[in-house]
Amino acid sequence: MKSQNKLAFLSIGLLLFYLILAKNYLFGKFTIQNLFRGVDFGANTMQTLVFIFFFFTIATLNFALLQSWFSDWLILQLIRYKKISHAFKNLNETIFKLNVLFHIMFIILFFVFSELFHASSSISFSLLSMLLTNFLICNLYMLTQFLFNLYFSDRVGYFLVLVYAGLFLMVGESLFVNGGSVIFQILAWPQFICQQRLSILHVNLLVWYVILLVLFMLVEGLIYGRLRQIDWLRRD
Amino acid sequence: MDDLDKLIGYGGIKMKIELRHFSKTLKKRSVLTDVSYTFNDGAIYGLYGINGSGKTMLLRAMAGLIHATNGEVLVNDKILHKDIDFSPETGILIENMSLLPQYSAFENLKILGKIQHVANDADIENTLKAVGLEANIHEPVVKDFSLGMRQKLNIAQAVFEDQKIILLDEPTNGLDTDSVSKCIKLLRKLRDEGKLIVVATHVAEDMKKLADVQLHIVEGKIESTERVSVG
Ligand SMILES: Nc1ncnc2c1ncn2[C@@H]1O[C@H](COP(=O)(O)OP(=O)(O)OP(=O)(O)O)[C@@H](O)[C@H]1O
Ligand SMILES: [Mg+2]
Repeated sequence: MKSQNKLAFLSIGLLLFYLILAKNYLFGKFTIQNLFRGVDFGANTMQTLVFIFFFFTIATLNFALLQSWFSDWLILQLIRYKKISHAFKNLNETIFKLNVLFHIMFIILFFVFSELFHASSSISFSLLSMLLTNFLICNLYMLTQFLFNLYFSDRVGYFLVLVYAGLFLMVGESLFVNGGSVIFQILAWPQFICQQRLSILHVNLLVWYVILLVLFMLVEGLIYGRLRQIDWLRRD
Repeated sequence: MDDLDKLIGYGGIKMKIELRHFSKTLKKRSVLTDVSYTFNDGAIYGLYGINGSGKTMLLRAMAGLIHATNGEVLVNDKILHKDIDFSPETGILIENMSLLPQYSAFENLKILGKIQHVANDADIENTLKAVGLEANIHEPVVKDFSLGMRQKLNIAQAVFEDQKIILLDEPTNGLDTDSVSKCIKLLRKLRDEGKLIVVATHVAEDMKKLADVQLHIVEGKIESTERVSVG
């Protein structure tokens, strides 16, 4: 359970990292208002990212949670599920529940802050498409983390997640500020959390829903395959 | 306990674990080498051997927690990882494991019990009493347990759902003399109920008191087996 504490600590660290980013690079001044300033057509990449930083935090905390599953506790559960497919189903249910929780939080915070700062007029979100998108991405992100867990040890896995997040922050920014090809922008997926960004790009929303769904299924397939052949030995 | 009772209690199902030429190589080192043996229910099997001889690995193989490099494990004639993923109805005590630290003993078992729904509150309480945790059923939380208390809870976890196959790795670790006797008494009772029990230990004394069949493990092989009769 020690490593869990470490990871929770790292998650908070990551959150602070985002706050500092916000302070230094985004709005010049560090105010709550700036942090939650709506993402409209004029928002740049960093503003978009900061707007969705909850998502990163939740996903990271979730990583810590998944990490703790790789303890003896998980083995005791697996033995009781008897079949890997049951455990797999349970994993997906848990991620699903976390998603719902996150989205409720997201919507509430969104409305609270837009009310608070009278920003609603300047924001024009399609909530439904945003949520659908978020849902796919959230699942994909959490499952990717789970994959990391399955293939690597704690430390390597967490390092990869940090690199992953950092890389997409950088790639996302450079591509968006300087333009760039659509495929790169899809790879730097945090950009696509807001439907607005997509409509600016004139990318058919359906097309990349399908792309994400295919990716989603691919990751699920990999996890299932890996779960079936993994040696449940104590990890370092 | 007569045979009729056994049949009623089990619906006539006998438990059997069969290792067929099981080998496991980890990081290019052979940790189990061509192990073939059949474990039947109604007996306590004792695995003994020096540190690193492969006792834990053998238990893991029987539970379906590792994959064979060569050979196979059959549980009731079903091949592990092919016909089934894990041995069914198995209780396992993994070395140095820790249950959820923020919950009490009772809550821990209750959470685990939610997966299969075979044990009720009374079963949980009775098991905790049988392992000697009667004073610590609802408090303190596991975080504040002593080493021996943790171990008792770990044993309870492996038997509270009336598991037919019980695999215990060093169950007497951290237990005082009284608790060891209690543990032995519990395991004998379970054996008499017709369960398949395998215990790994390097304590010769516990082995003598406990095992009906002693398996001597040397460098990942079963070097010798000896059937002894104990109480
Ligand atoms: N994850 C692993 N990777 C590589 N080798 C391992 C791993 N786990 C165990 N081993 C090796 O497998 C061998 C058998 O280990 P095992 O844990 O089964 O020993 P043991 O008989 O249970 O010993 P002890 O009495 O100390 O518990 C040891 O030589 C050990 O070094
Ligand atoms: Mg061992």
